[in-house]
Amino acid sequence: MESFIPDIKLSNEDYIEIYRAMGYGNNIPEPDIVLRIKEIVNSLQQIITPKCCYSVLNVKKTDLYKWQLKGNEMVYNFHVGKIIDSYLDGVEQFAVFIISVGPEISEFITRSGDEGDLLGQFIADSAGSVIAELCVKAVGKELQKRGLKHTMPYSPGYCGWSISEQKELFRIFGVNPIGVSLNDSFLMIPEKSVSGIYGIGSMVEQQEYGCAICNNISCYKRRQE
Amino acid sequence: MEQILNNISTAVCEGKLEACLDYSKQAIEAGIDIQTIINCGLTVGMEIIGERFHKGTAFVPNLLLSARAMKGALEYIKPFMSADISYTVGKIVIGTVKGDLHDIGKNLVSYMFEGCGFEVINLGVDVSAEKFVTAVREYKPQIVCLSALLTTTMTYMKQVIDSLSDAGLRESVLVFVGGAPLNEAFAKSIGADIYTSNANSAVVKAKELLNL
Repeated sequence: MESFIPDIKLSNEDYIEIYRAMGYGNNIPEPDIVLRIKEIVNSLQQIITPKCCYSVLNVKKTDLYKWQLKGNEMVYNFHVGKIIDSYLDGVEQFAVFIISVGPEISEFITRSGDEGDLLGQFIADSAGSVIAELCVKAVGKELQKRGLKHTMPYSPGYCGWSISEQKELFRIFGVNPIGVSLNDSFLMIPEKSVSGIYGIGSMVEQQEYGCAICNNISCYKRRQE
Repeated sequence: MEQILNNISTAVCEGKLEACLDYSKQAIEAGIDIQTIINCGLTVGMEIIGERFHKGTAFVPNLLLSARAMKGALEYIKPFMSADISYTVGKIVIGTVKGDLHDIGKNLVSYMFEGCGFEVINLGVDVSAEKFVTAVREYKPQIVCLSALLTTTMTYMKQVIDSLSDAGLRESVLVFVGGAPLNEAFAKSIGADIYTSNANSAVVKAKELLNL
């Protein structure tokens, strides 16, 4: 298992992602809200302790939508579902990853709520989701540094991959990797954590990502362009 | 009088707490009765921002700021109310179901209800069916709101509804459900009364069903 601390810096584009996560779509919030968002992001950047880990394992497709991973003398099986499977052509390895923004952001969010600052809580929660996505991207950058061509990242719980497969994914890393644990509902704790895979292969291409590949129109992550 | 009430509704709509408090104070000093301040000032402001949200010209932060202004003003005018004035328009019990720790969406709904004059009993997250049943028995709300953000936990909502039925309480409350993975069909399949996709719709629907 490789682990590292990502260097998280938010660009203007990342702020637009925060606005989107807050429900603004392609709109820009009012100046006072933008200012509040910047203040909260600055506060978060002082306290968060993001971490990433990943493990590159050889894979082969064993059945319809099923992939078998081998590593450390162990075998793991993922049923990624039809949608994700269709984007794994040419994949020879999976970089299985877990990232976390750390527990501090959950404490910030809880404290804001306890103090009655629902707007602050909402902003911190939205910003936390965007920072978590930046950590996922940081794993992709690490793979690129190693000369590994990869797909977009895919996670259990999205695009038809059952969230219960978190259990199999976490089995790869042992107990509480980078401080992240799973509860009985397969929810990761701390909350702002993401697990998933990057497909790796010399012939893979980064396909179009996100809602373009999925027909679940009721998904809350669906982009409203 | 009309100007002060307009100012109050504008302050609520714009989410300006301080202005809302100032105008509420002016209204009381001008002798405007409390029920009129609530019905023709505060509530109007919330209705306007709710309508804007529905049309896509206002967003969740605007709702939150408006609800904060309304809540603040209600707290301010509360001591001036006589016993016969109704401060709350209804009672809600709300919680995120067992196994699920997601707090924010449920809190947004809770805050919006409070901002619109409802009394809210927020049970928090990871709430068991037994706890919902106990709360319904104790607080006698008109509505129970169940929240879940995971496909693995949304199924627990049915258990809550079944427990309410087993306890003989199901007919006494409306069950609202909400959360990212839910939809209308799922709500129907588990025997919930209403599914809403956002906090504002939940309040609008509640007011409609309670004839408010």
